Amino acid sequence: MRKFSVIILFTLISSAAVVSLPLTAAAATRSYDPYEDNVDYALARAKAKPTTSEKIGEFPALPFDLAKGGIEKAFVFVEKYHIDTKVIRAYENLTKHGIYPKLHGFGGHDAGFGGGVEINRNIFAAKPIFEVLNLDGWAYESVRNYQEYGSRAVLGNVLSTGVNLNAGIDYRNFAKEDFYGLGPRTSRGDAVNFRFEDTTATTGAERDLPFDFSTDVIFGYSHTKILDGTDDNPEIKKYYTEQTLPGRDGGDRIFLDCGIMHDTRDDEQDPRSGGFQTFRFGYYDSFPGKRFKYVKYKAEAAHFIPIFSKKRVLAIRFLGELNDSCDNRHIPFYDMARMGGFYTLRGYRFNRYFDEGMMLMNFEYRYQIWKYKDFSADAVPFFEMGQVFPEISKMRGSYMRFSYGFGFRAKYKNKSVGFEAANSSEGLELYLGMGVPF
Amino acid sequence: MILKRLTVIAIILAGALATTAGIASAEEKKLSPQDIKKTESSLYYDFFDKGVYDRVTQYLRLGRTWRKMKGIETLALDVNSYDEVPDSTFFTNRQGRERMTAEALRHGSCPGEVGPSAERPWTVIKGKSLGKARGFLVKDGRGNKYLLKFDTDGYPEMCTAAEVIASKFFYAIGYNVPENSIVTFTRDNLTVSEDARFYDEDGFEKKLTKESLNKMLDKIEPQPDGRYRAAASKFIEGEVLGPFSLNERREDDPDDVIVHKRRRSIRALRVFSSWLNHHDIRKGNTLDVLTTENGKTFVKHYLIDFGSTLGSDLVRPKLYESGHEYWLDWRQMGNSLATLGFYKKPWSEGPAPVEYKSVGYIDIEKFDPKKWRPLLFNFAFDDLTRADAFWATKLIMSFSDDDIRAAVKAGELSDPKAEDFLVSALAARRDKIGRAWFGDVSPLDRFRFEEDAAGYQLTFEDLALNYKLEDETGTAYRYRLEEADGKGGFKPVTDFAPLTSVSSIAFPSNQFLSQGPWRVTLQVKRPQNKDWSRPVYVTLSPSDEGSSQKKSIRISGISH
Repeated sequence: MRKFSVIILFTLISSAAVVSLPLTAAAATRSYDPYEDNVDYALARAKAKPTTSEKIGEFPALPFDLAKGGIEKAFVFVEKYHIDTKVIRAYENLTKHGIYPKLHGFGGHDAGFGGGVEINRNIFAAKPIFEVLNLDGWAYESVRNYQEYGSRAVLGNVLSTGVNLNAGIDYRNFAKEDFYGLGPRTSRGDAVNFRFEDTTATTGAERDLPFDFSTDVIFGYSHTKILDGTDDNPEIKKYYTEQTLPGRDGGDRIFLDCGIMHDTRDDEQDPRSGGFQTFRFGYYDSFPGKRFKYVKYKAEAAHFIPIFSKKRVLAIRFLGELNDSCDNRHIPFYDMARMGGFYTLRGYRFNRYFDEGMMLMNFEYRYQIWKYKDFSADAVPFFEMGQVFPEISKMRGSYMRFSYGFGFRAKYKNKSVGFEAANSSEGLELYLGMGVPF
Repeated sequence: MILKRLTVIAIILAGALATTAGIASAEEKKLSPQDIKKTESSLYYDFFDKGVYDRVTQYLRLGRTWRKMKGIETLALDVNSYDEVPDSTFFTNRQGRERMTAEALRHGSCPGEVGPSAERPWTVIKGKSLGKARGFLVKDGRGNKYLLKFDTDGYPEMCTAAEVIASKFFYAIGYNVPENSIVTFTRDNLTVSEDARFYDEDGFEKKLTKESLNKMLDKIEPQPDGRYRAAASKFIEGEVLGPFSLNERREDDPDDVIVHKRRRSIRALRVFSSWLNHHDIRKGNTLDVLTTENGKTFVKHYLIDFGSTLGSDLVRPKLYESGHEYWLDWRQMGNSLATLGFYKKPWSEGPAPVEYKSVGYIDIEKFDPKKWRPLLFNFAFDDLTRADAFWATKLIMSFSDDDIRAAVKAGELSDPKAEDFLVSALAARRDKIGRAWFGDVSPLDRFRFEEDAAGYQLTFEDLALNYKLEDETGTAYRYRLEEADGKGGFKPVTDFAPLTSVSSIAFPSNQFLSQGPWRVTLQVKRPQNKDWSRPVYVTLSPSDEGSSQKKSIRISGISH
């Protein structure tokens, strides 16, 4: 029995020795397993929990975190059911058929967001009489009851002369336009309100000329009504009579307007180089009646100067307009030169100044601050100045109005949406909208 | 009275037993799909949340802002005492534990036969529903499902090669990835399942027919031999739970105890992604799957979709700003804004040069590992510590040129010159990563502590010298022995002493007379540096093993 025990003991010891040999060898190379899972997960979990001070530190972000809830579900829904693809494809299919849903700014200070649709179809060709018949129609409406509807037909390249003939009609109903008086020395506090309703029918011809020139001539008839506006300012009719403000009661006019344009811009919607110059002359007469008779001169020139790269562009514009009455007759106030708003002088309200003449200069420095694939963003500091005047000899330095500001424009290819802030002696004006002022 | 006490004791015992039984049953209870809430991915949300929201609100998180201002690091919590990441449901040590063979690198996560079975036809069961890349799902003869993804016109092999090659690297590093491989087939090799559906170009779900499949294939450029080339990504077995956050933990997963932004395995993805140019690393390119292995059911965390790695940006070569800027990079925008657009980004010289269309654009010269940016910001990457980066760099450096070539071969690039170019680009990026991140710490590793006749020997290796990133001439080391001060810290036993023998320190036995533990602080100084490096600490503890004459001591911790 004892002998048996000794054999067992020997066997156990020798087995242990054999088993421990490789372990000893392993220990000689590295006495520990560096990948050993000795992490104290309970401690790690406790450490990972935010402390009270950390929770307090997160507090400023909390309202935003709460507001964010639900956004993920919305995005997931859009992607899961391919809503984005459906919308994009629907838009593409519409445009393929000449239907263009659009956002539309009416310009008015309180016109509100607007949108609508434009339809542009090439109907048929009847060569050699004309190359194409193009029909164009549009309908825009804003949340503040501004409307614009119109249509236009163009016969392209008539008799292979390069001349396009057109005819169209346009209806505009702007529910709450403001008028502050005539001349450069008016006060914003004197604002009165009116509704502008106008129907204009035109026919004309246009032709491209060599060297980036083009010309056009338009003959038209316009029927204008001035009615009570819908905002809180006093009605225009309470303060003005047709005698003190020609056009207060509206009127009918015929006109002939012609122009010549030279355009070398690389892109009409987002020019980064080149420029354009236009000069227009128009003759306007009451029909029927003899209340209005005037001529209109309008000149505009803009140049876009890339500074070492098209990412940085200095944009300069000059705009001038002069209306001159004939035969001691009048110019309706609503067709006078106007200044103020996004497209002219951004530090002032839309159509803040009315008079027979107007001159302004805009300087914009457009520079790219971000780009990702077809998306980009521009920063735009700008400075502009201008004045209205009854006649050129009465222009005064003291009547000059100045405006400056800064904007950001987010762009997809050449389409832009911008936010701009402009300051002037009358305070700050903010703009959120599509496109560029020139 | 006694009866009353006995009753109370009996109730307490019964309660304790019941509680224990309850705990036991909860532990034994298998995790089921009902226990875990499914998540869904959204590209738009990722861009909104990480591209805009977190970038804006990060400054409102005052604790974080304070830590950033003061340069305070938040240490990773999924590391063991040796400063390594143990195996987990996120990460498995592979190349780090033992250098993988060329065959293993090339096969990656595909054990045995790679890709769909050779037996044809494959049955098309669904069109790919999300993402920009074109593709569809097939079922092979073995019943396995694969997602086939294709290249974009003009860049043959680029996207498919990137998809496969990057997955091999991420697998070798230690991440869970799908089985990806290159396949070729003809139209005759495909049949369409009766109930196959797909989303058409207008975004409407429709029945997939042979005609619509042919229309899809018409838009894909075949190889010169007329066959179609695709990256086949095997469907991961298990219950798909959706993507996981790179920042927050999955609250309903009992194994997911550490917030992800404090996981080194997640943070270090920034370094791995910088190497492989994976700029599209984001929530939407991850996947959780409820899986059962060895009788245990758990949530396994995968990285998926590697089409935007290396030189590929899925449908085009990488843009020159890839890896240099976030999608919305306030700093770059601020620079442009403040300088009126005259700020010139160093990487924005002209269009990205594409040397090989099958590789796309992969930056070498201007690649800066520390400044590398993914497309979308995330807190986990922002919280990367120097120790995290060292760990990742150590893994990246373990890939030799031959290892890189083995993984690149999985991409089956037809032009050997393109393959050479990609291998050399990855090797160059690897070395840049090594120089950048090893320079931030003392890159000393592979520590051993052994007894010898005179006392003890601590040996180590200098990885920067091992990988020939630094010159041995002029490199100096110093060390100091410390012992526990009884207050949770250490006090010096010796002053800093220079090392007489490079990579080996001899300690006499009498320096270890206290109870321990002890700590050796080591620092490196390179010829080009004025200061000693950030130290590495090796903690030593008494061990029960060893001879009886001398105190047995073992390495119990390493900290970079």
